[in-house]
Amino acid sequence: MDERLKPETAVGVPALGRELGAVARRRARSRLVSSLRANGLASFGVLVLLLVCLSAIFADVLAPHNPRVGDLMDSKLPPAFLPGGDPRFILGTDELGRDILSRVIHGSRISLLVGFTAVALAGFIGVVLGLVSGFYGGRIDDVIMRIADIQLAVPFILLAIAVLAVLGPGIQNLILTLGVAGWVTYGRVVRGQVISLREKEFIEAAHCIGVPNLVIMFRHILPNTLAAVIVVGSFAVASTILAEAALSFLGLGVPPDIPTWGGMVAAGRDQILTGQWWVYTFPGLAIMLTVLAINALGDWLRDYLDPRLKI
Amino acid sequence: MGVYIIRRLLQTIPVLLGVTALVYFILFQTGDPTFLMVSTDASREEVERIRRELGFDQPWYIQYLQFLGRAVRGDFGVSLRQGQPVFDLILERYPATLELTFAAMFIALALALPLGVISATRRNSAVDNLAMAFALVGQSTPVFFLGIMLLFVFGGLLGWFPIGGRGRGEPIDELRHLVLPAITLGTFSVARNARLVRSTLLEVLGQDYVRTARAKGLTERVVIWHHALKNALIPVVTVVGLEFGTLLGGAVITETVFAWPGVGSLVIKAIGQKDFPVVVGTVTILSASFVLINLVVDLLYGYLDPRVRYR
Amino acid sequence: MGKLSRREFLGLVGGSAVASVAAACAPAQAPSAPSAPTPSGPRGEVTILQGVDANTLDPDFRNSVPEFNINAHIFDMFLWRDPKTLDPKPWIISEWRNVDDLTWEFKLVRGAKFHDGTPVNAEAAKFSIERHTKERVGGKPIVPALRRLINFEKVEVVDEYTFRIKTTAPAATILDELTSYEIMPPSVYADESAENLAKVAAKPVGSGPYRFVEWVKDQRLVMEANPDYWGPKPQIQRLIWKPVPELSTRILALQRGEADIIVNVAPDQMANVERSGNARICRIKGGRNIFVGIRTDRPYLSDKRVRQALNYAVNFDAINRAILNGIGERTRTIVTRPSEQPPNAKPYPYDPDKARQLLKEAGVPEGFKVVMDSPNGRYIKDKEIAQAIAQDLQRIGLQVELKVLDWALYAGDMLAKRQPDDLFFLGLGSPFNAQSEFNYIHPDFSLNSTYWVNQEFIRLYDELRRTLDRAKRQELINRLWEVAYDDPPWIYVWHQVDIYGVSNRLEWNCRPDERILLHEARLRS
Repeated sequence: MDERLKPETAVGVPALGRELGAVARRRARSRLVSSLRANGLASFGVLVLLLVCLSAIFADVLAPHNPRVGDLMDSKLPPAFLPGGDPRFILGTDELGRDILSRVIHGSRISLLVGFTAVALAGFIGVVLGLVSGFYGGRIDDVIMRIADIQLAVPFILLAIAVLAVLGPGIQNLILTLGVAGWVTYGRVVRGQVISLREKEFIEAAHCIGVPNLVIMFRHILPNTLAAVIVVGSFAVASTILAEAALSFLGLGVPPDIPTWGGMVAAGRDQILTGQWWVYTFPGLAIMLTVLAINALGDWLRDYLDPRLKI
Repeated sequence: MGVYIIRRLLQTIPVLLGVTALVYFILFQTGDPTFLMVSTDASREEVERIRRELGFDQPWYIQYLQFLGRAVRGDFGVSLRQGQPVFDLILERYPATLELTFAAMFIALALALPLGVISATRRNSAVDNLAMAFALVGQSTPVFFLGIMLLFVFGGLLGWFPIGGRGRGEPIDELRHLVLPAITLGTFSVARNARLVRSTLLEVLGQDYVRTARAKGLTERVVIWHHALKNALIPVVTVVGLEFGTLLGGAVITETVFAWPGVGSLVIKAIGQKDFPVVVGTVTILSASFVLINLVVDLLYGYLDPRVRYR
Repeated sequence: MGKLSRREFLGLVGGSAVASVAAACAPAQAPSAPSAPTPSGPRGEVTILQGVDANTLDPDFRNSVPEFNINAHIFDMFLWRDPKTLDPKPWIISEWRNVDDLTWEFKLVRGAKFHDGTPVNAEAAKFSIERHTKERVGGKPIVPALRRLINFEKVEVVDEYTFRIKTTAPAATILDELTSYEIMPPSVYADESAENLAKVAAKPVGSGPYRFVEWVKDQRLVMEANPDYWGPKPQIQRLIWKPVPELSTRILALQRGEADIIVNVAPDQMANVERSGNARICRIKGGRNIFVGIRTDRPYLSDKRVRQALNYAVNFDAINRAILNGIGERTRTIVTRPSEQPPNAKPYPYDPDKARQLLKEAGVPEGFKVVMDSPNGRYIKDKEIAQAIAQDLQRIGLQVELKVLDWALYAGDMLAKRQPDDLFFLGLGSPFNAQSEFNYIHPDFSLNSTYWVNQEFIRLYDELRRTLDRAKRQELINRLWEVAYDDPPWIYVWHQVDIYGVSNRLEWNCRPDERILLHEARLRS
């Protein structure tokens, strides 16, 4: 069965292996693959995501032009397959003469970087705070949950606007903002799981034989919450990519010479009226396909790992 | 239940304190609003004098305490730029935002329920896949892009709806102005709720009481719409409560695209001008609304799920 | 200094002074409603879409162009600026004279009334000038820019329609300044209680051609023709001002006939606006000076050869063609008023070889690293032009890191502290007089973050400020520009061309001073 394992399914394997504990790894894998195969949308998602990751990794090789610098002589050329197009620019150019294809390819890098690192950061903060909150309960729990309430109560986009207006634009600041603003969901989900887990017998047993709290938290409880975290995270990546687009629209994204899909759509939005559709359509499609892929994958992961998760 | 409500209301106090302190702290990180308040021909001495006289030379926590002192007495201060009491400014715009948010929520639920039910009852059929694909596309389109597209097609090309702004009071006119922004704002939630309805309904449909109902010979329609859906709605209601915050935030962008005169456009302008009293006032009101809505949602639980007891 | 009688002035403005008051009182008419108005009666409704709403309409707290546009209809500015020559012309001040170098005497038109019925007289003028030169209104601090700009000492009433302004030093730009200040009724504005200030901020009362009707913030501001107006009668019954931040939305509204004037059309949208067939473009070179400021206190940039090189490196023609649809022109001089422009001024040519040569002479042939700031959407295609300039500078060997910033951060923090990065893209609106324009690069100007100190420039500028004689001033202006050209504190880019979309049913012309004035506009029948 192993030789039939597609490389992409390896993504979920480590977490799953731990989650399932005693179940044989081989059986887990085969169940995973057949479940994935049964779900058309999810397999499609895997394929798209794979393509996007490849383009992100090999952007420098794949992109025919420099994505950040163009020649004003080549400004606003339509795609090569249309009248007036230039064979050098397959998907056309923007008003600064930059190659759309190269920018979409390089955009995958930034969009994924922002999406995944921001989610990882949010997940990290959320998991740690959720663990601590659920495990210790009492006053610590109260404080952490009040902080969570505060963050939920301030509309996310306002928080992001305020923070970015203060810190200034830039990829690091964007990741930081999206990451710090996004931890609450993880925190709540993990806390909920920890509370139900900490009364379980195997945890009580660990307490009895004198296992230190930290070890219990990270060795015994954490692995059992990961399924939920992965599912939450898979949806969050998608919404993070959209949030980046929204912030670009408000002028708070990354600098405009650095290509991001959201930034490209935001910068090209006025061309909806002028008919230069290629400026926004290709990055827009890239966002749509990627978000769709991640969501489809998230849906499937949820059904597969824990259908009772309400996310 | 009365005690429960009072306890919940008391719990909002630290949340509001936290929110306002956070906003003050963030806003003050990049200096004070003086420079943006004066015209370009002000001299440096004049700017300095105004800064001193308005008290912006004080550290942020002093100014925050002063704000609190006034706020306790119900005085949110006067807008630095508009010269009007902050509270009046917010009240002026609040109806527009509520109107938009509730309309979006209505659309989200009115579309999501049937979509979710259809795709759950015909799982993995073509209809299911189509509905879910539609939901995913809705969930992966940047809000600003959707808004401009809708405006372009239904306002510009077809001329069915007016372009931006809010009506002048006549119900029909109001409604015509409301449709496009409400769809724009609601689409993301349609997708999310439809998927949620689908997955919870699927879960509920597998439960004993549904089987019992079917065994009693009830028609499938009665089973689904009467027995199953009510239980499937519980998680949806929670999400709707949380989504209120998302919608209020998302309204910032929708309001910008459609020139909708709501709180979102007020606060984004205020952030841009560093009109602190307005930002703090708006965020306070929005947070309070969010907290209240979630209280209502929790009370709704009791109606939907009699097992819930308020402590 | 020029002197014009009221009759001559009315001819200039182009309105007929005799109009039927009875007809003007007719109720508002829907634009499509068939009506038989007398030729001079106001009719119809015109909607103007600006990018943002006004914050306040209190003349001493407003500070933005949209606010000015609204106020210019409800109030009368003391003087009027001719849209062609940009020279100050009589308005509610019908004539003036210099009593001596430090005293100006002004006469107001007779018989004008504020909207509350109180008379426009020298007392009202005195009250208004005094309010404009105060340091505080109702305990709230304001910038008494007028006080400083005209070296204000005091204002005196001579007779019912005559007043004098005394200055502590010669005030060459006093007439220019008075084109931007309202005359206000003391009956409404004298009460400086908090309640009244909040009230007048939202409900202005002036003497202008339109009366305030209602203002629903961020939604619409409505004004109606003032049938008792002292000057040329307004031709449109109702003006509605709405804020619409998104350009696409403004254009669609214009195309659908829901708006009559829209602001800030992007150059690449001009054809699109006209394609609809019911709207046209009005564009005009304005006074907004777009430039890239240079931090002359930074390494390499202190060398004037390097700064010249930066100017030679910019290929404005390419920018113009690709980004500006060919509407722009490289800055010839920062002086905007035609009558004041140095006759021989010419722009920096595009010459990358010379730029590299200059860098070599300055000892940095391999270039160096700079950070460049740009605002985002504040000026026409600002970040796009900034990116193009960055690319040009890279071609002569510099490494440019571009930072596109939110205005609140850029202006509110970096410019406020005078700490922008090495290069900073900025646009300054013009006061349309050379003296104020040169002030933009004077070390004393609060927004000037170039740290450029040229002793020759400072000496000439001081002399200009003290000189009233026209010929002498022109000579000083010419020499000031020579200095600023040879030792440039900025990369001179262009003067923004303002682009408006205008409904074909409206007769209206755009002005070079970014102001939307509908005093003479009318609807085509």
